[in-house]
Amino acid sequence: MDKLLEVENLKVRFYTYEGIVKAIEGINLEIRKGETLGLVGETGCGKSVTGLSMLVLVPPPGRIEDGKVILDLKGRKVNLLKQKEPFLLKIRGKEISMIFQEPNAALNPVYTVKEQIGEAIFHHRRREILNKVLKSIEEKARRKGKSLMLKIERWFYEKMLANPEALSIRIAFKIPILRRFLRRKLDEVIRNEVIAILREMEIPDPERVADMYPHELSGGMQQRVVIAMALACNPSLLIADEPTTSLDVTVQAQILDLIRRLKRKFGSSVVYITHDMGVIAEMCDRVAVMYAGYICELAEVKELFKNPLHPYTKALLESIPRPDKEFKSIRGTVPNLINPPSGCRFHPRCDYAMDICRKVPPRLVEVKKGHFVACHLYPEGGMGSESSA
Amino acid sequence: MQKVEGKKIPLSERAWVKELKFTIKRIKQSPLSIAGIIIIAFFTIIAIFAPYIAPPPPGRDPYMIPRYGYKPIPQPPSKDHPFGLTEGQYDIFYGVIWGTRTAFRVGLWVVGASLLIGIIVGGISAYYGGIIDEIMMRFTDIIFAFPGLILAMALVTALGRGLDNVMLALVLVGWPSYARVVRGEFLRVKQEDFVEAAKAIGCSDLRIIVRHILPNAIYPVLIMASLDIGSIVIIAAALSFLGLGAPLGYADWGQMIALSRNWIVGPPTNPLLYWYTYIIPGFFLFLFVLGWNLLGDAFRDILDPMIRRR
Amino acid sequence: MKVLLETDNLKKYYPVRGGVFRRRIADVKAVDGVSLKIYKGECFGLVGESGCGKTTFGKTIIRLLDPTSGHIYFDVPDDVRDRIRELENSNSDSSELKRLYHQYDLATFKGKRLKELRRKMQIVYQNPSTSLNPRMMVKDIIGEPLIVQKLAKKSEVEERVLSILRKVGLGEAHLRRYPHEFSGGQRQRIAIARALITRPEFVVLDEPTSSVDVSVRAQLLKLFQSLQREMGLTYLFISHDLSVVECISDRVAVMYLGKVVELAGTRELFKRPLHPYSQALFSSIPLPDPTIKRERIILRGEVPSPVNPPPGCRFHPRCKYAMDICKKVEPMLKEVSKDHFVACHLY
Repeated sequence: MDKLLEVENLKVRFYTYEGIVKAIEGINLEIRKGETLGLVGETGCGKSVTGLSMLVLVPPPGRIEDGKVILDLKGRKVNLLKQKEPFLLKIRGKEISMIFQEPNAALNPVYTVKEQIGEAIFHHRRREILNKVLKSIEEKARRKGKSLMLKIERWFYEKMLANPEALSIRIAFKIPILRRFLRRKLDEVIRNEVIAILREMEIPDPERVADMYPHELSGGMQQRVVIAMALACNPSLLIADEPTTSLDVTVQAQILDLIRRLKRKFGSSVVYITHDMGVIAEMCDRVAVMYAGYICELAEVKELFKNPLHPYTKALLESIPRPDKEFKSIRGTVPNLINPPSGCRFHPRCDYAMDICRKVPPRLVEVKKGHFVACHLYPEGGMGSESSA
Repeated sequence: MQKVEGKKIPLSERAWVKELKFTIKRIKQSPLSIAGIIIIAFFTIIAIFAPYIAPPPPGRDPYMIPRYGYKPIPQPPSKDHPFGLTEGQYDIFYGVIWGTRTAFRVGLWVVGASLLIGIIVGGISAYYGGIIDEIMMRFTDIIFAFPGLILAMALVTALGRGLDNVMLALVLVGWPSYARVVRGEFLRVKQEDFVEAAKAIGCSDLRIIVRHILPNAIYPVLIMASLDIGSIVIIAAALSFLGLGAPLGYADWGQMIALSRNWIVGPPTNPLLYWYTYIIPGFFLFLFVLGWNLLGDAFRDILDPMIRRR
Repeated sequence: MKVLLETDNLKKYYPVRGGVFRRRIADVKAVDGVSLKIYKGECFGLVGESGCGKTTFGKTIIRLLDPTSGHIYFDVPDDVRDRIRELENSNSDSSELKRLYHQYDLATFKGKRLKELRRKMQIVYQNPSTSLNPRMMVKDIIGEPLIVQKLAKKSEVEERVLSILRKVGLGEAHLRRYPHEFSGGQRQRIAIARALITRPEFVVLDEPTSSVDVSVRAQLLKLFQSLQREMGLTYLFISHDLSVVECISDRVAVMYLGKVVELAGTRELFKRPLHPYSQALFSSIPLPDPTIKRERIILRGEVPSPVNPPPGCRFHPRCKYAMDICKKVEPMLKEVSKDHFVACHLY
């Protein structure tokens, strides 16, 4: 039951012209080591913002107002929200990675695959790569004898290893021909690393793919490259924000399979954000259902599907179209978060709304072991009305 | 979005009113835009009330500046002639006031005509594509091959001197830029689903172009047009200065600066003796162009949907 | 059951231009010979993944796109259709055949006849944000078909707009608003109202629920069903979301790389998919039930480019049952059991 990441009382607001959007009003989450946590909800419920907050990447006009995001960094507990940018740069991509819905938006169209994945690798595994380069230079020196070129290269790489910000290196990199010459060995080593990673992602023909540009790849392949970038440095947490929504169903099956296998292999935790209950049922160990910026239910996946307690969860599961059954929808619309409904934000659309629901927002309480609900039908401590249909 | 139940939406809730309020707020946030609006408003008032501010002598064409004598030496500002008299004793005050009208006329007509031709050519080119597009775009390429001012000068020389010919030349030189921009925007909007949906309903090509594509494609060109008005007026003034534009004595700022050609540097003891002959019309020209430039920038900041919502 | 719409070997190719003079060097074979019958009053589902040609097919049969070859018959009496078939089989180059084509084959329609056709065949697009003109008011968007088709006088238009608006669940308050003021689900209703105001007989629904939330999806599906009953509509429901198609369609066709590979009644198809591609497709749908562990068929490789489809059966490079004959001969769509058609050499 080791906790990898803990979100405490997170509050996020967006300051727009039309008003202050109270996107997330105090949620609590924990992600355990090695588990897949699903974050499910409809458009506007705040699941993407939650994911971004874990990486402190909420774009303006949004602002994280309050709360803590505590990461377990090799035993040390760090509150990411209180860290400065240089520290966060070391975390993003290495400890926590994120992949998004549109793969072609995540990939830079003017750089090849090996350059993009290479950038991620080099940024985080600098020493290791440079040492590899130096080793390969030694090898070459032993085989072919020392030459002036090798001496220059060796001096250069050692300088890079020792002092990355040295003026000589920066100047050298700005001169085109010199740069090509000096980077030759580095690029080769990086390319080999990239090919190894692509092979693990089960991308066919990795040598060819490494040299390709993103637009030459299909959507499924692009998404695999994005996943490769995200997992290149073995992060302990992967946040996946609707990664397969824009892909075909068969490609989705392949990608979900891939994520599952990689997770087992590297032992990472995954936060899977989606609106598709089917994917949740397949991929996740635990599920949090979000509505209008609140977590309304949190449980293990089998328990949630068998025994949904919150009226929204129930309505969501019932609205999934099933053959031979009448279509059931949830009346009303998702509320405007500039002026959210008072009390429980779901009450205008809830069939079981009581007086108290209009006045007091319900808190997330543990109703059964591991099963949390935020609903007045289930007051604190113990089961609420058994008559929940 | 909240659904509004009920019959009539009150005025304050209507979409266009809300957009207008937002636009006004954006304008208020940008002091340069306000400056631009004030300057152009100032000039508009002068242009409208020209007959009252500088009453023309009866029986004359009001655009010909009245002369008070025939001496070639300019006279400094005095009680009767607040801005002085230029070479040939033309009243500078009268000239710059009525020159405002000329400036508006030149700017608005030239830009308006270029815009119209540009929209038609660019729109048809983009909508039909194929060989029509190729031909029209090669045509614009030909005009682009020449430097604008030189081509305008050549045309005016060929057509003959006069402000109307200057305007015609500037239209001929100016429309290709609009055509290009319009074509680009049309191509973009043409791909949108709602254009295909209009086709599915059975809309004629003309209806699609005018009713569906044009209202969505026109914003960049409008911004370009408002920024252009200033440049057009300056180019026309340059041509007038070179002697290709308005006739001698016409109330046109460029013409008036032309008249001051020999007096820009005065006697060695007092080089700026005749400042009023060129500084005053020059200042009006400068302010006019500045105003339109600021206004054009304001339009772009307000109307560009990307920048709008920041 | 009366046949409302029938296609005969419909093809739609897009030329690929290359070389100095931009000559046609190849074709993207988006729809490569599809022959289907759609019966009056049914909801016909068309599924497949991106690039299979289903959207192109939907747009071609209502003549939003011009077919490269093939015939489209809309509301053609059975005896006329039989006569055409007779003349085609006898291989004669008769003028009667040409006359019949000219009169009944939609592919030949132009100008005024094409415009009249648009009253009876309409389309609802996938993304309601881009299928409505952002600078037009709702009442103009919905009223435009009436004006363009000259079906109502100016004074009557608003009334008819209001009546159809009410049918889709919106009201008078929405007439003078702009599309961006509405939610996704409401915008889709506006698009539906626009499609239905001319009282068409046939409506192509191109992934109409893909861009909206799950809860709104159910609302829209209910609306589609009630409108179909009320107005006697026939639907072509195109979707890549198999669970939605399962619930709303009567019959379903599966497309792959421009061809139909399987066609059957919905229940039959979902219970017993026969074509290897359909089997893989249906097994990929994630089920919203964590207790069921699905036996998943993961396909190898990627969808090939429609410019150069594989020879023989297009699916053979990815098919685990591929035999020698699959690489050479293209399988025809055959009736394998009652009303269940498959194009596969296994059968």
